[in-house]
Amino acid sequence: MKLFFSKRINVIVAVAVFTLMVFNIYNIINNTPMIPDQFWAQKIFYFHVPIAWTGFLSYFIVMIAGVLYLINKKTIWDHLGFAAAEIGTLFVVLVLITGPIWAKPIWGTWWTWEPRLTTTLILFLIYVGYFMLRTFGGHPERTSRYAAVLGIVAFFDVPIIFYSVRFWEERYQSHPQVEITKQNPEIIIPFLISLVIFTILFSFMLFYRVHVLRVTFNRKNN
Amino acid sequence: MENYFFNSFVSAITVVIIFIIIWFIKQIFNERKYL
Repeated sequence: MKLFFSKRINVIVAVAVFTLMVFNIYNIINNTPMIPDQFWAQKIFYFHVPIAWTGFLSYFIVMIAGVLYLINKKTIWDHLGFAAAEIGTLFVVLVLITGPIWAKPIWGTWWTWEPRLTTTLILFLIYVGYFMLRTFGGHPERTSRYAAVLGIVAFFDVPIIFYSVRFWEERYQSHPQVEITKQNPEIIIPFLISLVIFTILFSFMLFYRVHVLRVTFNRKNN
Repeated sequence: MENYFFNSFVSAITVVIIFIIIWFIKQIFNERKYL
């Protein structure tokens, strides 16, 4: 196997993704409105929510890859699941960091035990367990099988996070419940651009990570 | 107060960029280690 960046197409895609991300940051800084009361802090929303979306998309891929692995035991599904789990966890960690950075000036506290924050933290902790299983699971084939099952079960927390703002009574909620479709186009358009660019970045990262896992696997098994 | 909000924004975007760059560097090293 060759180095990922020895292929010209991969370098071109990497440069394109980088350029898109630079444009996205420029767009968020310069072309989004200042919201009274929150000013710059509100702009965190333009990458906090897209990062959360890509994190959840990633865990959805872990679930699908887990099902496919259990059906046909092909290594590629195991690699895809593992890669998506890693990137998903990176993104969820970023959500758990950028959220409190927004919350401190707005709520006056870094963290509060309200439903959406707590269920997101639970998802992160489930994936800490997932990586412990991957590292200390013992027999590789059995570990992959258990990890596939855990990836499927873990995904059930994602709809709970999504609907947590409705499941629990209003008095327990402090997370903003913004209906994006009711927002001004000045907010929706940069938000959707950011969502698309983060999804492209995620797809590229996933592709690259699967390649690295295949390289590692081939070296360890040959 | 506006400065305080600006610092939050800069901190958040910096953390995101640094984490993603570290991730890419880690992959490059991992790949070279096994190829």
